[in-house]
Amino acid sequence: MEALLTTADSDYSPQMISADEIALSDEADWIAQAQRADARAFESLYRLHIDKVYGLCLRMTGNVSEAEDCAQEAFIQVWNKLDKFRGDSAFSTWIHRIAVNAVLGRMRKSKREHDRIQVAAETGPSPVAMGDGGELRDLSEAVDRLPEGARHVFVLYAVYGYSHEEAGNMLGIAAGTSKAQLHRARRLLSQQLKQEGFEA
Amino acid sequence: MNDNYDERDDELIAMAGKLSQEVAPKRDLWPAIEAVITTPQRSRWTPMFAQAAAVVLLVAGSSGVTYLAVTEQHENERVLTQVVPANMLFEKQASAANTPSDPGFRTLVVISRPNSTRSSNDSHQSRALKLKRTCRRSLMRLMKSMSR
Repeated sequence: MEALLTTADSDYSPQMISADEIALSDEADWIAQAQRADARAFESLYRLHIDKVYGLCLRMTGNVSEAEDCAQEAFIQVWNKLDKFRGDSAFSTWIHRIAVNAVLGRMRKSKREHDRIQVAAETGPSPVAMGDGGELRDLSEAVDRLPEGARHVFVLYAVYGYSHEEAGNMLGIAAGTSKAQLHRARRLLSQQLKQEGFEA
Repeated sequence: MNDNYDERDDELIAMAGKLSQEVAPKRDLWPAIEAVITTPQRSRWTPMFAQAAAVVLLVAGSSGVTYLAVTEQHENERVLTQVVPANMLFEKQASAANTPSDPGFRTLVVISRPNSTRSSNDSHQSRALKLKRTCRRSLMRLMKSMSR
């Protein structure tokens, strides 16, 4: 989507400015205001990024309530660490990193991975499948059933497109370990989908 | 962003890339976040100051107890030196005692030792030195008389 905006240049020529550019400009303003403890500006940042952060948390935890808790925790940490954001990376990447840490921290604390899988199985269709239709829904549910380490790597690498180095950095593991976990995830997913009669 | 394009060719990975990255939460999470970030948090310095105050109190308390104990000890020593004039006692004991193993002789040595080593107060120290000299003189006199 693009917007036709007239700018106050010297020759008054109209310029095409994309919605992304407008969003980035707004985002930079909101970040600056939020760094001065403006909660309204921070709410705007929250509205801009919540779907991505919640989506990541949901795919990594596979549980709605845990994903909500992780997303909340992530945004609280973002607020507390805002003064440390220098703009070296994109704000969305920075938030993603914090969200991944929130998920890992929560999982380390709770140590309820086994219970989580049971609860997810008992609550019917996987919450991760929301928004995905047909074959993607099957894949989404299969991803949710992966063991924790393999699932985290698969989500970051295959769904969000991070490299093994980036995924390894976020998860606190070596790039080689990330590759091994991805291999494991692919093998397990193929087995699961084959059992369900799904041809990948 | 991925670095291994061979793996990207994998159909499974390609399909996973089509999974939606954005999911809207069922409920608005902002009120809970806002409640946390707008609540004034307790300063991080408060517990540190409390700890520092506790350490100071502990040190001051233990120093006070030590001071009282030492003062009391000095008071006892002073009382001892005042009540028992060693010079007179020593002379008395020396004239009465026939041998160094006499109980009176041993008592005198025990009394004179703490005064020469433990006192820190100037007046107390000088008093102890005086007592020590007197004791030494008396002891020399006793030794001479015994040698005769």
